[in-house]
Amino acid sequence: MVIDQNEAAAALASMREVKGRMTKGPRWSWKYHCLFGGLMGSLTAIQALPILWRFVGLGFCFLAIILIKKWGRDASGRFINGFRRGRTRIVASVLLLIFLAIYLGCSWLMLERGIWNAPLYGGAAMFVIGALGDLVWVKAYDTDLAEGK
Amino acid sequence: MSVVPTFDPVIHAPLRLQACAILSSVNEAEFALVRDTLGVSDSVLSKHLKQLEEAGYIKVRKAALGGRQRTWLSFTGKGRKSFAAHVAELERLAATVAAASQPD
Repeated sequence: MVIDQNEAAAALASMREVKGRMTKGPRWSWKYHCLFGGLMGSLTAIQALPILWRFVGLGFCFLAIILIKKWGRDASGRFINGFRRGRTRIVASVLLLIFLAIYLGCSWLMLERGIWNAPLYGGAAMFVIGALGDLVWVKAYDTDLAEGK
Repeated sequence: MSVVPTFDPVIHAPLRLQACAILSSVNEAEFALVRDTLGVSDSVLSKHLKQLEEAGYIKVRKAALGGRQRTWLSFTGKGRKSFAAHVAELERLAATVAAASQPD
């Protein structure tokens, strides 16, 4: 089968168009973004717990990761790797770096400076950053789709 | 890793190409999302997906949610590679149009 150049260009245009249509489909609700932020915040805040409870908290967080992923997938009809190529990878990488900086910063403040409630403040900040970051990630995903990426 | 542009007649049919475009932007998509995005009936989409599945390009997974069966679709490694190669070939062909239309 041989196709000409115009047919190839039309096929590419139809792919871009259908990806653009995906931005109109089912979306992740604000509750999902808040849950994601809550997970990021909890992972940071559990450092303030006694060591045994820290492991219990970590177990709950891992369970929450599975449930949030499942909920998001069922609600939106799709599952997407957060680090997919495009703008989304930049947003996810920045979010990961911020999380690591806050997490390690809180550890340092707690262990070196004796500020035992630092992880709680860090967790609160991470909740807001995580929820907004997730929202920004979705915007980046939509922009990528609208551009046919 | 570079992609060798290769035309693939299984992927090229308009509806299959668009279904593949959707699957390329996700890890897994629900049948209903693909159907609604393409604006086709269940039977039409099933027929095209069957061809992609038989070529080993997509995986179909059934899962129950609230007593309702949901079907999830994803690319196989072979499917993702073939689609990338097909898109590269389309881009190569389309680029010749762009080059030809450039003024001297």
